[in-house]
Amino acid sequence: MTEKKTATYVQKMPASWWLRNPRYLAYMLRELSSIFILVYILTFLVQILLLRDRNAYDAFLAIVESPFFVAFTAVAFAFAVYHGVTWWGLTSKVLQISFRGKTVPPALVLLGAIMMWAVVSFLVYLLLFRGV
Amino acid sequence: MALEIVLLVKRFRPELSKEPFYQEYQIPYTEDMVVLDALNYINDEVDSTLAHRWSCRMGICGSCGAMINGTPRLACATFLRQLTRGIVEVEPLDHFPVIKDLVVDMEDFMQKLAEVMPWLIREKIKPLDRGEYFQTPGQIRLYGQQSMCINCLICYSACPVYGLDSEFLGPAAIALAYRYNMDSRDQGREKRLSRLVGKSGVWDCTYVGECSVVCPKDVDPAGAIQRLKFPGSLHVLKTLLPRL
Ligand code: SF4
Ligand code: FES
Repeated sequence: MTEKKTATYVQKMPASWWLRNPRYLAYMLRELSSIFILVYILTFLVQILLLRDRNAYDAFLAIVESPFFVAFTAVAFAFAVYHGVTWWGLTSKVLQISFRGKTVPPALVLLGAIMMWAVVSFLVYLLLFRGV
Repeated sequence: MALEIVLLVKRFRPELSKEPFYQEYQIPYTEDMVVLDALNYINDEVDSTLAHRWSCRMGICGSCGAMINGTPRLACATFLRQLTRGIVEVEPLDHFPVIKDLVVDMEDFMQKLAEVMPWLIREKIKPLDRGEYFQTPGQIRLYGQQSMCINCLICYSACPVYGLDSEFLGPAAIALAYRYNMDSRDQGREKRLSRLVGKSGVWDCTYVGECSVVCPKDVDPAGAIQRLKFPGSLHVLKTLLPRL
């Protein structure tokens, strides 16, 4: 079994591997999305912390309302939606939900999850902006 | 005039050079040819120095995997007519050390496979005269999909996690651990889980998902890996909590 091997040629993965097919690229975008989401959450946390200090809060608001930051938020939002949808896409394949002895098809699980997500988002919206 | 096709084959001949090189072969083409037929034709009629593995010619033995136009596939299950590009590029499976031409070294996988103990583990083995272990069709269904694995290693070639760090246990080995962990006759779940939650186990998987896309047997290793993360966490919890 342990005979000595002749020289082998080692294949290294090129740094550009993720450009090889659209699925790798989609994966990399999903990974990248977390950076945008992280930055957004950090700013949001800072904003909450500054609530105690009126002046500092106003100064911070000016930054957050600048066109650059609004553009960043829009991109972060797009990434968050992308992350959410693809995450559920993958998760729906992993969850094996049985109903009457049959596995529910992943597409249906995905649909259910997205609908639930939309409802929860709407409730949060009502809570925050309508004060229900 | 007879139709012809061009194959561009990545070759490595350690006796000649340390570097791999590409060689072009122009051979007769027919509609019903798979890539393996082309390689066999080259080997038989054109250049007997070309080394490649094959056996069953029907997607069962798992030995003919290669990168075909950049995607890992079984050479015997890939029709030339399915490939769109003019020239068909055939390279050894990605991420594995190449021994010669299209022949790669599978030793690493063989060791990993043994680590997940892909056999039925019983605390007490029932004597043969007591008969077989019965299973319902429902119990078989729980692991049937993963039991289809033919160890072709195509999933490893598609896995960038394995490409970056070959310590990773990898898709097929973990899918086979799942196959045995889901088997009602098996009693070795915790043993396998302790390997799976360990170094380079299930947590190294970031769910790229390409292994499940390329798998010729629809084993869905990616799904199996994610499904093991929950029992894996419970296993860690159990070992951390002092026995009550
Ligand atoms: S899981 Fe699929 S791709 Fe991987 S070794 Fe098994 S059959 Fe081949
Ligand atoms: S020759 Fe056996 S799987 Fe291709």
